[in-house]
Amino acid sequence: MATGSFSGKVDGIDQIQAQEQHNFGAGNYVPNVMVDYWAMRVMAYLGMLLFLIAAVGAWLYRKRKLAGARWFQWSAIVAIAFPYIAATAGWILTEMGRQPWIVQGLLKTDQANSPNVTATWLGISLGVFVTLYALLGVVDFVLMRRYAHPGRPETREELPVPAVTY
Amino acid sequence: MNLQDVWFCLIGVLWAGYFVLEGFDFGVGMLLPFVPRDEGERGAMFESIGPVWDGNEVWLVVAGGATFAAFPAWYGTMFSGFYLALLLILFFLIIRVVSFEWREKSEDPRWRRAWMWANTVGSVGIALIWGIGLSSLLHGVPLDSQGNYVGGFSDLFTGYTVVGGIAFVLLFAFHGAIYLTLRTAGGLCERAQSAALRLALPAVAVGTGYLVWTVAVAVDRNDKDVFPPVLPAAIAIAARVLAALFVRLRRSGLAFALSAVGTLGLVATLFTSLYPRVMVSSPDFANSLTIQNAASAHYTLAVMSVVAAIFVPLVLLYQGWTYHVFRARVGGGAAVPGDTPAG
Repeated sequence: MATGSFSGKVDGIDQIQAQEQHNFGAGNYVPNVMVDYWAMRVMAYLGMLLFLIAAVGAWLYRKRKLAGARWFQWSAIVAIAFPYIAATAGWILTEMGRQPWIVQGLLKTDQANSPNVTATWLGISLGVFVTLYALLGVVDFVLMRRYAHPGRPETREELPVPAVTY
Repeated sequence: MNLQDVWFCLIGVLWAGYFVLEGFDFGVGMLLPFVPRDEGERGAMFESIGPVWDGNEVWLVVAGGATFAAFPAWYGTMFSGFYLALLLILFFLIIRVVSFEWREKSEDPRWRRAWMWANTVGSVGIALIWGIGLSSLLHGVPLDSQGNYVGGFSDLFTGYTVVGGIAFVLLFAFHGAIYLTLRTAGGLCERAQSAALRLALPAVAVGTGYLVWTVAVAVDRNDKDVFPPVLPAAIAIAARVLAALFVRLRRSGLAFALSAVGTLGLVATLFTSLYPRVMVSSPDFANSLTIQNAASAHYTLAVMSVVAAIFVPLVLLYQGWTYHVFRARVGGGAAVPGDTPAG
């Protein structure tokens, strides 16, 4: 697949490491293989699983069994998380996979960072966003629960109806 | 005029568009605790900017993206150097965005008050920080010979930049109040009118002071002549004075258009004051970033110019269409016949 033919030869990690050392000087040019190996599989398998679940759903719908199939409804709920996990895994795959380069062959990650932003500040900013998003996530969950609760009356405000004046 | 000049102007236009448009929705956000009489009117204020604030915000994203692509060194130094300031802006943007969605999700008065304040604090905070940050580009920040920022957060605060921040807040509040007189009806419209009247004097006074100071800073610290920056500054000052006059005469449409011209003139003053630099270095003036040493390669700029020539008009068209669709006045029960808006 990488070469677009059936007989193409794909270089192994050791050959590429040697070749990159030859081109760009000494250094480690191998990304974290374990992380990439698993990120690739999580992304691909979860994606396939989603297709499968969708197909089963379509089949149940055609057989008019969808409303009664509790087991399927539960798996569909669980599957809500899959696209997010798969997309995150795919993101990790590309970001980790291009290390040590931030732009292949041109700029390395350790040369591309902001010289005046300290690790402390990175930590603080990361902490701020993680805390903020965690709080927002909790509130969002509570709100969705409220709205999903059976029998709860609609609490939406009546919006004023605008009238065209010109 | 080479491509670097074109992109410097285009980035200026994007910032101007951002402040003209998001300026009024920041202004409406700032006035949320003070103008409406009850929750209904407050809801109408939210609704007056509800369909457009997010489109307005995209101008900022495009300004940042254009800077990244056309002047990577400027982008790199500014976004690394202003790290804490931009962190604060992002924080305020996030809580403000959420307030639009969540405020109406519960009737609880404490809940509603909390999200109203999230919007107000976000609006004031973002305007303040942009005023300080953009003024700092001209006033000068410490850069080394590589063009890297070597100062801290406190280097952004000088008398001039702080006045810049306050000017941005006042101008947007004034702009937002005029927008409300244009977009609302009934008692809310009346209260927006008196808010605009009360804000007129401080907005004109601080706005004028800031513009005059900007030209002085350009001469003093950026090796500029008084002309041309004085030209857009004069236009901006005159437009704002006229806007205040038309508010008094209850000509909301004209007042809003002139207030918008005032904001355009402000950004034009800043950019003509900066040219040909994009970030003034102080104390080592020689380390300043210019449109030459911060720009991308010619090929990049050429490709981007084609892309921009196609998509900028498209974006303008559909944003204009959004405003047309949501042109009706909101709030105040029955509609009152108002003056004809300019746009």
